[in-house]
Formats: sequence, structure tokens, C-alpha cells
Amino acid sequence: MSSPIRLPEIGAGDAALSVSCWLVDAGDLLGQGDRVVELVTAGSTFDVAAPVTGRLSRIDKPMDSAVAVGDILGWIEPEP
Amino acid sequence: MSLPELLPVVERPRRRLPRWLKRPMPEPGMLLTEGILTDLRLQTVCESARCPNRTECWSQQTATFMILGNVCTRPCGFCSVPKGKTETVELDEPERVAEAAERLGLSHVVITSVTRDDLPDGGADHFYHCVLAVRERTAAAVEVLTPDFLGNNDAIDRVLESRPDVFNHNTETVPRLYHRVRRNADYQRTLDLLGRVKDRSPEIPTKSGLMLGLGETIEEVLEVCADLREVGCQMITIGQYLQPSSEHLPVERYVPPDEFDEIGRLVRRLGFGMVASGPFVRSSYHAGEMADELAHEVAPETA
Repeated sequence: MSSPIRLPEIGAGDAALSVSCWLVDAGDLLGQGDRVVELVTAGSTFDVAAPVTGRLSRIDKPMDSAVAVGDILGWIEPEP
Repeated sequence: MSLPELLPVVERPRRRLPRWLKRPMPEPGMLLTEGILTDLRLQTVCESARCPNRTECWSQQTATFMILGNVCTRPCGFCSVPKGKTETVELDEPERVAEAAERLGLSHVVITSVTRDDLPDGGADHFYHCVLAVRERTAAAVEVLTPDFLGNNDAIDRVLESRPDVFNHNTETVPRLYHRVRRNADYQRTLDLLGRVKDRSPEIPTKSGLMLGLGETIEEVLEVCADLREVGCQMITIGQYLQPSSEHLPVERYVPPDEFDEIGRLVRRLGFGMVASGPFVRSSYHAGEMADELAHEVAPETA
């Protein structure tokens, strides 16, 4: 069963948040904790990490998408 | 003194920010800080100014309290604090600030405010009561980061009566850019304020801050720093201006960390007791450590 990559609370307050870059491609194998997607907000930038080990199966929020805390950015198909 | 290249190479913000502007994800302590501040209905400049260090500072249970409401009377082009109709001064705010400082276990408290040109004393008396309230409840050092009080010396003196451990007032940018960046402020007034603090209370360290990336040249930055030294300023923070939203002034240039290091080195030569220079340096970032280091490095100036 796929696991969502959810945008956690990053302390940006009410500032606009968007996806600036995916650091991996759909289909890539990821380890838990690997940096997956970069976000940009009022003058600073954050990386969201993979919650589980597996393969990036889908990107829901492509580059330049506006996002909010709790949004699902993409999905990982777990692999042993 | 050899100078690096001029700063203002126009370089508009890109979709991806430079790698050195990457920030860490928050730690659990951030939620504790947020909870206490919400519980006590306190404003912080961390939130209102969309500070990029909020995650780090709140995770370490530090915050800069912003008193006198969340609405400012000045239309500064770099700042995201709301402007417009000001709020009533809440007389219990000093006690709430003190309680937050106590519950967060702070050893160095920074108190700042919106600019309140609508109040006869600019809010100076409220600063005074906030400093005293924190002193009453904690053993923390207290740093004030004040507006310019429109040059009202009585207001400056009222804040000094509270005997803050550090008196901070930001210069923000070079005088050539004041009209665009810091409208309704006056460069000479800022220098006069810092000079008055030093004249009246030479034992209280004075501090100021500058943002880079708004179109200034390094020569202009060094001239400002020399002017600050002339009025006895001992501590300076120099950081990158970061555009809070698309409605604010654009970033003209992202200054790389090694240039910040070089600027810090040049500024240190002017005789400051403490210099912090780096992309994420803000006026109250690691303020306690900076004050402690100054205390160990040099005796407070008396002239």
C-alpha cells in the first residue's frame, strides 16, 4: 500500500508555500529520510524527506504548485 | 583597505533559492513555544515578520516578543508586519511577556515593538513596564529593540530608565535607500538615537542591524558602519534581506556566505566589539550568545 509524502508543519506561518523542485523522479528508489522535494517560502527553502523506503510512485504537486501544511505532495510504494 | 567587488549586481529572485538559504525542519520544541505564545496571546516578530529563523529559534524555545500590537504605523517596503489602524495598548501585556519568558525558561529576552507614531511617547513607557515585568519574574537579561520614537529624547530616556542589558535599534539599510526601504524614517535620527543612549547610559551596550541585498554597495555599508562606530555602537548584525511576499521589495542580490564573512571581517576592523554577518543573521538571532560574547570580549565603552 502506498504511503503519502505529506507536507509537515514547517513553521512558515501564513507565508505562501510552493514546490520549487522535486529532487528525485517518479520511479526512483528512495531510502527513508532521503530528501525528496524542495519547498520555498518567504525567502527560505526547506526539504521534505521520504517517510518510508520505497519507490516514488506518483507526484501530486509538481514544481510551482502552491501547497499548504497537510497536503499530499506525492506517494511512495514501499519496498523491502 | 582593499574592498571586494561592488554589491549591486542585479540578480532577481529565482524559483529556486540559493542553496545556502536552506533551513532545517522544525523540532518538537517549536510546538511548545507556539503553544505558550498562543496561550498568552503574545505577538512575536518571528511570525509577523516571517522570519526565516523562526523554526530554529522556536525549536530552541527562544522568541522575540513584539509588543504594542501587531499593526505598525510605518509603511516600510521590506517588512511584512501589517500596517494600518493600530490596536489599543494592553496594560496586562508586560505581565504576559514576563510569564512567557518564565515558562520558556529564557535566559535572554528580546523585546521589540511595532512603530507607534500614534502614541505620544511612541510606546516607550510600555517598553519600560515590559522590561521591569520580565526582571521581576526571571533572572534573564533583557534586550530592547526599539523604533526611533520620532527622535523623542524623553521616550528614549524612559526606556533607559528600565536599564535594559542591550539597547538595539536597527539602521536597516544605507541612507541612499531609506526612502524606498524605510519610508518615514531618517538616517540621522537613527544615529542620534544610538548616540543618545550611549551618552546617557555608557554602560549599556548599543547594537544595530543592516540588511544586504537591497541594492547597496559595500562602500555604503562600510560608511554606515563607520557612522555607527562614531556614535559608540558596539554590536552589529548584518544579514540577507529576504522578500516576505511578492508585495514587498524584491531582492536585488543574494549575497553568498563567503562575502558575508568578508564584510564581517572588514566591519570588525572598525572596532565593533561584536559582529554577526551571515545570510540568516537577524537583529535578535542568537542575541543572548552575542551579548554574552561581548561581555567577555570587552568592557562596555564609556565614550
